[in-house]
Amino acid sequence: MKVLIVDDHEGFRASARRMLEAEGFEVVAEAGSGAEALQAADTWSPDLILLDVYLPDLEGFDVAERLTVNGSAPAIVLTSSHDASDFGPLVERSGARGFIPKSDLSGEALRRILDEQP
Amino acid sequence: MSSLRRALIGIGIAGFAAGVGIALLAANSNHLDSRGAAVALGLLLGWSFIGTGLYAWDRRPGNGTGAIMVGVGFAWFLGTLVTANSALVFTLGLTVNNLFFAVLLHLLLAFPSGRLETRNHKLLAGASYFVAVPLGLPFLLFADMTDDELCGCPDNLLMVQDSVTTAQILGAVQIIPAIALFAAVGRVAFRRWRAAEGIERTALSPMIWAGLVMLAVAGVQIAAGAVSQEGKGQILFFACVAAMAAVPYGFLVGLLRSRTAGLELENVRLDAELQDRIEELRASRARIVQASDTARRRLERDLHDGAQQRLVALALDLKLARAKLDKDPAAAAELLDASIEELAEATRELRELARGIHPALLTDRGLGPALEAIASRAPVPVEVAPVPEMRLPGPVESAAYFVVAEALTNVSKYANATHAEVTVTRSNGRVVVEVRDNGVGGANPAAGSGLSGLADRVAALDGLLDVQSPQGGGTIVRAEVPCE
Repeated sequence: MKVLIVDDHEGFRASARRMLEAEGFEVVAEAGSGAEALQAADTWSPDLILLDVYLPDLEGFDVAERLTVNGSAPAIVLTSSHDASDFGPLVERSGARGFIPKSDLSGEALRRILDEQP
Repeated sequence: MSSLRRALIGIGIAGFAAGVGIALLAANSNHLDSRGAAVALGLLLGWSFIGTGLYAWDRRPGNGTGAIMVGVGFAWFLGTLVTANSALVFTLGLTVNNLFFAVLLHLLLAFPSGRLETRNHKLLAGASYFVAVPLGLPFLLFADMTDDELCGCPDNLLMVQDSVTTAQILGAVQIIPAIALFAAVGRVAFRRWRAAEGIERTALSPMIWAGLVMLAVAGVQIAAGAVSQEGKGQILFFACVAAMAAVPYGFLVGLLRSRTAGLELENVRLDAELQDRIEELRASRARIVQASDTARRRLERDLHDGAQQRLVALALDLKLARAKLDKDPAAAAELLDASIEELAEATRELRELARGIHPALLTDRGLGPALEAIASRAPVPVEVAPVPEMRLPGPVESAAYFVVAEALTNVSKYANATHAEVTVTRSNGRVVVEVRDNGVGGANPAAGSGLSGLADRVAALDGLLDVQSPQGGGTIVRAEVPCE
């Protein structure tokens, strides 16, 4: 499964990449901002985007909305060092498949979300 | 008691005694009509001028108005010596009978400064004295005062020849210039009143108008006196005395009104000042709230971008390490090493952050050790002069600490200095904190939010923050905070 990791913290991207690759995902690209994320999604056509909420230019919610607006988007999972309860209904409205707090990130948690029917 | 005050009391006693003496003289006079009224009005007039004059003299010793008013009072009492039955005292009274008018004209010319400001005013005053006394003497050489037509008075000792006609002609020689002088002085006073504005006019009006009325009534009285000595003259005389007595009260009313007006003006000024201060406080309060918002936002960012990210990455790496522990222990060990480093870094960041919120060393050990600690962390050599050991109130210590911290941060960021000095002194209920460097200067306290935030913090303690930073001349940041 091809994955795009979007986060402005390089340290997190590196850790996430190590973890996902160890659990059998193929990380095809990383992006550090919303604009880069949109471009990388176009370039790499990933199956899954792990998308940080707070990016320097756009919010993850906006990026998710733009990607999902025509219906043929990859699966998007939002992540943040904040908790899901900090965002209320925003995650659902954004068109993303789900949310994982960064500290709970694991291949298993991602798969659980992806297995749920959209 | 000051020597002036003693002198004024002495003059007051003399004025009181003069009044009593004159009253006795007038009460026993056998050539004075309406003695009771004359005594009462005479005392009222003399004492009003002396009393008001002394008050004015005491309040404004540098202004001659008070002294001249006192002079008017004494001149009046001197003139009333004509009520004496003794020919000698009576004659003496005759010679100075009109001196009073001269001093009164002098007063109107000199009011309100108490000085004769122009040559013209000096000439008018001089002429008044001349017309009042020396110019009256020729008349006395020919006037037989015992004549019932004239007044039925004691012997005029100056008389050399009894000639009614000559006396009348010489009397007119005195009266005509006297009336001209009244008119001239009245004109000066009126012009002065017209030129005055606002509070000044408020203050001048009562006395100048009392003076103008007095000049008019006295002028008419003198002119009428020249024509007739009948009952009408008596009424005019009392009207004239009443008008003259109004002059010192006009002065007092003016003083009171100018004070009231002055107070109103002062109130308006204080009000404006208060409004400014309230505006300033409102603005500073808004800035403090904003600064605190900004600080919290920055804190949240710092925590989120710093320690929190590191801890998140650490959690992922530890999870991965555990997963790899059995199959690939070497990779797991590598991950654990990286995690330990990450943890140390996160701890360091948290420590920095906590110190920025409030330094524990400041709370525990006080300003001296806390400043030593900032100095030791600064990239530029910083010398801290011994700090007073006694603990200061918490807010003062905090303000002093953050002034030094911000100033030293600026030194290392912008000043390009090789050396900085920190001094904290406490004297006369004030704490003065100073940070000076030998850098490039040119710091603008209005531009950076750091220093303006500090200025608000210092102002909240009623203190002042001052930044001197000439181009190329180093920078001095100085905070002064009251501290009892």
